[in-house]
Amino acid sequence: MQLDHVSSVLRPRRSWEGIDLGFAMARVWFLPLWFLWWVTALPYALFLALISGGRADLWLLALWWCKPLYEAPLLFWASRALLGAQPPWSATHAVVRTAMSRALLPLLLWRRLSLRRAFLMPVTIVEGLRGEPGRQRRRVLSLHQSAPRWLTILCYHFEAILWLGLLLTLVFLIPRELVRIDLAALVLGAGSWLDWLSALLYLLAFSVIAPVYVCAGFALYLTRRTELEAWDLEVAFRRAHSTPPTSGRVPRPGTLAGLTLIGLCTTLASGDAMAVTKLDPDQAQTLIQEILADEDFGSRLDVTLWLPPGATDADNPAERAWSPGVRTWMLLLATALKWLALALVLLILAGLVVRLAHDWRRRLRRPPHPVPNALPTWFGQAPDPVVPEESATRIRALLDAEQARAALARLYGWMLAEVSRLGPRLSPGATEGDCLSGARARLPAASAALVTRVIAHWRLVAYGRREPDARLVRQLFDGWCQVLGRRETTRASPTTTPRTRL
Amino acid sequence: MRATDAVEPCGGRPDARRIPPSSIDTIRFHETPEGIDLALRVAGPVVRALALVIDVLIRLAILVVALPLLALPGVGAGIFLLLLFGLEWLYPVFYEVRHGATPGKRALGLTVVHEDGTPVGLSASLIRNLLRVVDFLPLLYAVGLVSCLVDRDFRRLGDLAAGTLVIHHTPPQPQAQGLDVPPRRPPPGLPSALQQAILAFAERGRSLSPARRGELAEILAGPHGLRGSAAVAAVEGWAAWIASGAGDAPALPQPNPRGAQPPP
Amino acid sequence: MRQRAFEIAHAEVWDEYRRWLDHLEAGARAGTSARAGTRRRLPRPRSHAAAFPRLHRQVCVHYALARGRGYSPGLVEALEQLVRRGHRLLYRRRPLSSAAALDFMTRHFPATLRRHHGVFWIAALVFYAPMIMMAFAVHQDPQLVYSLMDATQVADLEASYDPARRHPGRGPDRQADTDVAMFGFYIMNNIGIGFRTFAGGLLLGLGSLIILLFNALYIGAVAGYLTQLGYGSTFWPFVSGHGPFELTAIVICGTAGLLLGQALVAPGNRTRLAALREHAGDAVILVGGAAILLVLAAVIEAFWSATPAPAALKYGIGLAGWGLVGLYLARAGLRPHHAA
Repeated sequence: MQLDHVSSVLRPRRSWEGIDLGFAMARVWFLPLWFLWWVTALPYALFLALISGGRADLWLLALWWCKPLYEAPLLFWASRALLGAQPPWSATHAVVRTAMSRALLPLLLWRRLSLRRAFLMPVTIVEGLRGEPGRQRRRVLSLHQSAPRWLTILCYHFEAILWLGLLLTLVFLIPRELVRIDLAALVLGAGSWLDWLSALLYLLAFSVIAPVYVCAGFALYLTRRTELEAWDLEVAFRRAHSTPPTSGRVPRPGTLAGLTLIGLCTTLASGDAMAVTKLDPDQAQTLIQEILADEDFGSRLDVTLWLPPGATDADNPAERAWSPGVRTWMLLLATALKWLALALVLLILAGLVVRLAHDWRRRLRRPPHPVPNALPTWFGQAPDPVVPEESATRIRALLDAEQARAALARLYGWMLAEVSRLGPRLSPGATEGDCLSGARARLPAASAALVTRVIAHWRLVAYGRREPDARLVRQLFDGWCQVLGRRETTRASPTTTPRTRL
Repeated sequence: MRATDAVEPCGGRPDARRIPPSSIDTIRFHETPEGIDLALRVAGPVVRALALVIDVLIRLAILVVALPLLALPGVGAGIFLLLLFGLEWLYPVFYEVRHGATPGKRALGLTVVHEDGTPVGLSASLIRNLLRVVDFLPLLYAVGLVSCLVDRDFRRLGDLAAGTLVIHHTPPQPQAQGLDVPPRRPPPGLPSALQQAILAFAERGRSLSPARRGELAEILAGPHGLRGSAAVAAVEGWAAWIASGAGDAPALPQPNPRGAQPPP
Repeated sequence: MRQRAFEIAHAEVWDEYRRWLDHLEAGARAGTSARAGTRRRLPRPRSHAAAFPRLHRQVCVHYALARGRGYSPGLVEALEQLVRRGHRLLYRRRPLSSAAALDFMTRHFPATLRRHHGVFWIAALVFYAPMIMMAFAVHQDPQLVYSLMDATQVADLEASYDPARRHPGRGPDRQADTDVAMFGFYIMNNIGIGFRTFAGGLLLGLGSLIILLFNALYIGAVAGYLTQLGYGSTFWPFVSGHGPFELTAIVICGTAGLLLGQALVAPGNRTRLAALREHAGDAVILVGGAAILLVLAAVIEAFWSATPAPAALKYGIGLAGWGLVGLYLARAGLRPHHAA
């Protein structure tokens, strides 16, 4: 393989992830792969339908057994696509021919039932290994690997689930009056045209799962070889050196003709035991209903009427087996549970009523004055000019009431007002960073440093939801008062520090 | 680090444009607030189906163990029915919120996360598990299977509505060993991708067969006339050079982030 | 900077970070596993708790650097493992507290329902209108009941509400343990129906509509049939207690389902997936609230409805229940005037 053109990222993966990679590949290439599957499978399906003698179950079994025949072209196509050279539609014929030329006979005979089929198929189809080297490669690859088996088992189940899902959807959607479809007959096969419908739906499920299964097996194979041989490193080494790869393998012409296999398949498929004669459940159901509707079955009421009131336990043989002690205990437990549950419910209801009443009272009562500790809702927006004394007293009050958060908010607001007063108003959308740069530009260094600290703490409060330390806020507040006081004095003198504008 | 270039479209997959269409992979990147790309390796239908089977078996086992409760008249039956309800609806929610995944998923190394890689919360877990009913339709998760096959991130309908992903949690490979070979000067002008590959070769070399190591090393060292184990030694020497320079850094007995504590 | 020097320079940060991860992960697990055992063996982190986010950011930077500078894949992956563990710990959702649960019941749930009151009224219409019509129809023509139930079900129904009979299940002789069994059954059955009603919404809302409609017809038929038989004296007192909670909860589950359907049918100015995500978030709140209502209903139905209390008292409690539910859904969790 020419690894340096691989279009899917090679890297070490868990084997489950390898399978997932295959599913991703199948998703991207689904349409061409699906088309290719039908192109290969349809001729076989028609031919087998001719020779199966009208037996839908035999036909399906033969088709199922020949699966490797239509999976081989998919695998070949996927390997080309992985190397970045997606075969065009026009090359479909060549793809099918090349894939069919590989040694497919073992896959159709003794290796057909292997649970690692998809995982090991690339050895035959992509590498073209046969005989002893192929056997050796397969043995090394499947050492300590359980994922390939699970892949096959689950894909069989996926097919069955899709088939049943399609069947059920069909049965549910078709009105009863239009055509009576008996679900049990459909699933079990009762030898009518319904068998063919069921088999066709199964074929559809085959066709949907086949690309997924083949790609998943192929990706698992890639993953395993990457693990064993570090293919990702080889790709990186080669890409960097851009040396031409040395090991391009020439496809060998196969010796098998597909048609000879079909005869074999049909002979192998002849011994099946799926046709079981069954009583029609619908008839049985109506029969049961008729019998149940008879008066003889309506006499249950009489039996209960015989009971004396109060002696309810005696009629239950299961309860009679319990000693009276256990019975009393159970009753006690039940009663306790009952009252517990009732009490709990009453408690919840009472809680709700209290809460409702509380909310209602709050709605009815207008707040007499704005709540003092309400946080300012702006972020960086300057509030109306604050009277310094009022701010100071309020902050002090808040600090005394141990509402450090509200105090810090108000202090921040005060600082913003101060910054706005000294220069152009801060825009409503200004962030803390804008305020900070504004403060640095307009305030003297000592005040600016203080503002920096306050904003840092405010950020912790606003974004980090961290309660500030009351002592720290008080310290900041005192510092601010000092700074303000000093500035008030310096401001009167003509030697004010010149302010730089950003 | 990489800057986001556009605002995410509403509800669209933000990561779709990062992966070139030519390369197919199951890895999804999510950018965290710290500005790094966190890789999420989404898990596909096969491994999820297996996890589901394990979970179903566990629930059945619990029911079988609880079966004797039915012998107690009244109370036992009531408790059994409550248990049935809990196992049907709340078992996955409980384990996902508590431990990140149900026992079956954990056994296979899977975790349920929000699309941003954070552990799944109560609301999302409830949504994805209540909508399980629809994924189950018409039987045995046929709808969920189709949804998994069609969706790029293998999400079933419940996952789509809840915005959750099922991802592989365990690291893809065993921890690599450190290098302890004398550094050798590599040929000049190695591209960074190749440097990384050389480092990876040195770290992962032990898991390869000696013949294969020689083969790989010869791709690089062959043009310099080196073959076999000489080539391997040369490439490992280059790796040591790339990692630590010509020996200017003091040799550390054990590189630290690999999980092992340094010897005291 | 060479990789080895990078590793040496930051080894200490990584070690401390790893200690923190081990410590916090053990704390997260401690709820179930042996708390003391896991805690004591791990080395305690040396820094203050506030250092963890800072360490996380630091290691994130190291990870980005390691990737950007092309250090060895092993180192990059080891760092990514560290970062991933930290990310999970740092950004995990807060565990559910009792305060949050109370807030959910008193504010969150009714407020969410009121936000979607239009859908709620549609669901109520779909539920109550057929129910009442069916009840009247069956009252006029009892044969209609057989369109929904077969003969055995009807016979069972008659037997269990026959006022002339002392049925062991529903008389003064009914014992507490039967109540518990019935409670289990009501929880499993009714909440299961509620959840399915919600999930059915994902089928373009049709599933929810069908389940709502079917339940409405069934309940209506039962009520009409029993009343017409003259069994109203046992039937109506029995259902009056839990009816307000159960019926309302089913309608709310239908509302949740219809919300999902609405997102798929009429997503508005968004993609269907985005609309679905947004509506699913609200819908699951409704389902959670409805489930709590259904638990309430199950308690009442199992432990109160079957008690031999006088019919008048039962009717009174039923009326009170309707009033309470209405008041609760309409008024609970309203914001105070000045904030609104």
